[in-house]
Amino acid sequence: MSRLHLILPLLLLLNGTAEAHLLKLFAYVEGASVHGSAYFAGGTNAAGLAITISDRNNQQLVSLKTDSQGGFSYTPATPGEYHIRADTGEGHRAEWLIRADEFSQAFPAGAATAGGGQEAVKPVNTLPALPAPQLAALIERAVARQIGPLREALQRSEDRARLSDILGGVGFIFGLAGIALWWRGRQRERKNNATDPH
Amino acid sequence: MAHIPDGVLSTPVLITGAVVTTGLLAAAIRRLDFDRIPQAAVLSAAFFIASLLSVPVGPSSVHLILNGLMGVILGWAAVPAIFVALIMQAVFFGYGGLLVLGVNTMNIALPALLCAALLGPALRRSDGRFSLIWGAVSGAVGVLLTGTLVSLCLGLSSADFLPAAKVVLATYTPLMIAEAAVTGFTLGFILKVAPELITIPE
Repeated sequence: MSRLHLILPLLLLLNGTAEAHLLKLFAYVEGASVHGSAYFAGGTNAAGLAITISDRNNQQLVSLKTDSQGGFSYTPATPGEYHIRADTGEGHRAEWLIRADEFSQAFPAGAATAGGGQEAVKPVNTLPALPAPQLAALIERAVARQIGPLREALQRSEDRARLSDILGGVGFIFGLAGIALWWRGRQRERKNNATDPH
Repeated sequence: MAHIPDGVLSTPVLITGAVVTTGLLAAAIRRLDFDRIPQAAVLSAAFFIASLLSVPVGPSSVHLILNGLMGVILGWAAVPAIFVALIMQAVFFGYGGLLVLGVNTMNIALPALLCAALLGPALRRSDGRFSLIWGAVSGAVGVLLTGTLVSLCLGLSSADFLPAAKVVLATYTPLMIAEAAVTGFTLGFILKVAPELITIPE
């Protein structure tokens, strides 16, 4: 029976998967739209989470909910700086900033002029059917679609608490305990010396 | 969740938390029983790691806090143990933050002290099934009080958080059950095998 008492708490502890407790947000631009996801560092996706997107003046533009995979997407009217915030409503919070230059230079439908001194790409002889800006936009979008998930995976793996972190923390705690004990030993020694000089 | 991140709470709440934690730490260090240090270190490490084992609940996720257990076993020594573990979690895992350290320590350590003061004596006198029950009660009370304090901090920081406070209490209910089970079995086991760990009176 006493053995059962030893094992049960361990089983209960191991029941949850090893994952961290930090809400994280990741978003990237693909063409003209912003794709993103919310998750807990090192583990589960945050489904049904409230996401708000606001512009650089902190004006809230839209409020979304993540899908079952923790993902969301939004197409802003113009390229620009966007702040994305996630809030579980009880203290877990995360933010992500989309910078204006992340948007494709060839932002479609009239909004493209913002680019300014954009280099004129000379059409190479391969695909004469597509005008250069459109081709560039297509390429950028294709690359973004390929790279976005990679960037997300990279971000997620960086967020994970590593074994070295865990061991480092535990080491610190025991180190501090060691210091406290050493201090006590010294105090005792001093007291002994004071009472008994020989 | 017990780790409120930086930038959520208002300054008065942060200052109150820092002041309360400083007071608790000063009182705890004055009463520090050096014989408890190894136990405090072990429980501090357990607390540090328990935060990695979290379970999703709704849009949030919860993990064991173990503050009832720490309070009953360590008494006042639980305060520095919790404080140190929270620093390590903030530095290594990014849970919570250094600015809110005071508030987070207060939210976890105060319930631990209350458990020690209110439930400790009954637990030490009990045996068999009753120690299991008292242990479970201290685990549940620790979580319940922490949840209440977290909600209070969020609620006092801004009115928007009042619905948030309800979410906290909702997500803490399953946690209370898990925590009660873990604390109950652990204390039951300790009382049976090594009762001297918890029988030293404060």
